[in-house]
Amino acid sequence: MKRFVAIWLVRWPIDCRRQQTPGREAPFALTSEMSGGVRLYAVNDVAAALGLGYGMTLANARAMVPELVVTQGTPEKDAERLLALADWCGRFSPWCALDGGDGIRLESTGVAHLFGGEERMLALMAGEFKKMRITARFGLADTPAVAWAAARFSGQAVTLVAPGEGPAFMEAFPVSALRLEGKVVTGLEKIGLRKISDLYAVPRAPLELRFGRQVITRLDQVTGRGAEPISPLRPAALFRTRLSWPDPIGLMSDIEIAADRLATELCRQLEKHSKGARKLELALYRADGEVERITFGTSVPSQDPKHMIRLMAERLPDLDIGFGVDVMIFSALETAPYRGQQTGFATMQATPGPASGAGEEKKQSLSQLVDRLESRIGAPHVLRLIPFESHDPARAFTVVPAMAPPSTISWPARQPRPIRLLPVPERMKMIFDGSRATNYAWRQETGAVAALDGPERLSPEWWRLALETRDYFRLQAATGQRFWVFTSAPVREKTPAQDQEWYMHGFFA
Amino acid sequence: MNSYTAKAAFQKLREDVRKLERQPSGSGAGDMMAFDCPEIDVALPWGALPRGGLHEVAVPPESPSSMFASAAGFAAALLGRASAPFGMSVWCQNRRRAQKYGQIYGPGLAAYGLDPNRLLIVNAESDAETFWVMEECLKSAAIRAVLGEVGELDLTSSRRLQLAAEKFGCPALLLRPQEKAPGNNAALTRWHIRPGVTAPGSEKDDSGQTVGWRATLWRCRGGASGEWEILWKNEAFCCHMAGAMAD
Repeated sequence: MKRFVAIWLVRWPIDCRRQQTPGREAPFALTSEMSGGVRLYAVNDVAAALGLGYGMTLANARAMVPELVVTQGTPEKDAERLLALADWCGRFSPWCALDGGDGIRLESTGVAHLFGGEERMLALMAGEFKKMRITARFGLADTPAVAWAAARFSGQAVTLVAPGEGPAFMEAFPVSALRLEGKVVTGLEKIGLRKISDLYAVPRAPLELRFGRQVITRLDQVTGRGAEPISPLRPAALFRTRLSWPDPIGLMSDIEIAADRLATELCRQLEKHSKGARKLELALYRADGEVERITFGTSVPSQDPKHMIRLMAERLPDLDIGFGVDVMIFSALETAPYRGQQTGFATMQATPGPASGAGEEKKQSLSQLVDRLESRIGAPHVLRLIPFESHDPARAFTVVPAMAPPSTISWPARQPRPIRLLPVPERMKMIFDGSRATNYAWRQETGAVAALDGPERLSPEWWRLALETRDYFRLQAATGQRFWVFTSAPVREKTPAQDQEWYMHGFFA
Repeated sequence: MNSYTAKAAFQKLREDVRKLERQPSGSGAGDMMAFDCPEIDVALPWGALPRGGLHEVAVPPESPSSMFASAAGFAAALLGRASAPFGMSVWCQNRRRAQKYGQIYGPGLAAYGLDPNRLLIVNAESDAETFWVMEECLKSAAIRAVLGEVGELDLTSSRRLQLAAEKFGCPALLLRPQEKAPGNNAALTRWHIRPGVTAPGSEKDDSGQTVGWRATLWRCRGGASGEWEILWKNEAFCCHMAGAMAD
């Protein structure tokens, strides 16, 4: 049996801008540009009691309540903050999603016991929202449809519908509790179907014929016959561990201890299923409704809590923990079968000799070192260069991840190659005396040319037409530096060398 | 008796000074990396370069930025020797300085005994990151030698690196473009490298390349300075004009 929680944020836009609210007594409203001019976008309790509501034109509202205080609303910002709040609800369940523009939906199947039962879980949620001063109502039921209606139509802050009682619970509610379009609701009401119990009694086929598929779908979603899966904001991890505290902890040392416990527990889970983690995430749920996350990867599947802690430790000091953290969740986002030993790097470290046991240890420490470097410097910046068969000098090697399997090719030793290459070749000047180069100028450097060896003509592969054919030369300066310079290969061989454009590309040792 | 105690006291003082100066006193062959070039090895107080130490390779101050590649070549040769024959080495560059000094070019590394499978490249964002990377690598049992390209270097960071290198017996090489006058640091040896001026076509090795440096050892802890013309021939250092340049 599945269980779902619906959270209805009754006055979300108002809650979002509590600072601007003039006080609880004055009627207050936010406006937004809608079809037909400026309309009310959200109202506070007082204004609602005076009969104002969503969608009313500002002129009407002013006429009804002259003392109304009005501010421009910010729907986009509110939606963003709602998303952040939904993310923060990940502390209760890994499956959480937005539910329209004014609600959050969670699947609580199998998580309620973490909080001591469903009632206590709801009470805890209500407490957290109250602390953040967000007006919210909660419904818990077998299906998202019933939970949605329970939160909005029961008139209570917290409504718990017992398993199996959803359809019966819905009976007394008006048909609008089914999340139907306004047009359909009016149509149903017109023919006297005002309550949901009325709909239960009506045969389905004529109902569908007259009001469309939607009514049937919604009815099925109440009973659970029609599926309504939650597509979570973030993929739910298979392996996750969680720690929570009644009062937020704010000391980094406490967080480190907690992270240690979480990692140990997660590794125990991974071990049980013979999995190793490839990508891990530590989420810190702050008491003030924000979430801080650290995501990091390992180059080989890992079950080693110490290693995970070390990777995390690099990043923990960067976190902003605000007024404290009351829930921490550590999850393995990606896992791979754990074989108990690393592979792939084996041939690379094939040290002939007695130290074969030490070789295994070395490989492990190498992968751990790479993980540490990657987590701090960034994975794209920790790499190896592998030879690649191409005449284009910029493509004579490829960049592979540090722990990629070893390449069997070694560097081609055909021609002398520079030790350093400029990422982008730079224009330079060559001065010729007849056909002999005498001087060069590049950036602020000028000098006499002692020798110009070449050319070595390098053409790109014929299928890469966009690139030109280049003539490379080794330029030796009188002061000893040796450069790798090129000029585009003369199309007409008769173009004199001094009229060519010369480029600096690399440096020899 | 008196002279005997004085002698012992001197002996002890020498030991203490050596300890204070943190000179590696052990001289097992495994702790050293030799140039295998007698002229240089003899001039070094350890008879070779100690593995557990920080060695700085730089271009002389106020030399053009194109000379940096020569220093890089010399450092690459040292790195290749330090990690030979099967060890893993790390080369940490700075991505901010990529366009100014270029980046290491894979095909050009072959000549220095650096196998692409055994060389890890790290592109750091800042000098601070480079120091962190170097220290992490020195600590790791998987790494035989570390090279870092750094701009500025203060006494504290260099001392940290020197201590880590000494503790873990892993050579740390600093490759510096040296835009300003060199300051003090804790490196055991400090080299200035200029490209060697060789007559074109004079001495070529098997691959047809002539790589030469004029290397100045201008600071050497517990030793004298020296200057050599070094050639890199067939993946080995080779000194010509032996001792003629030493001052």
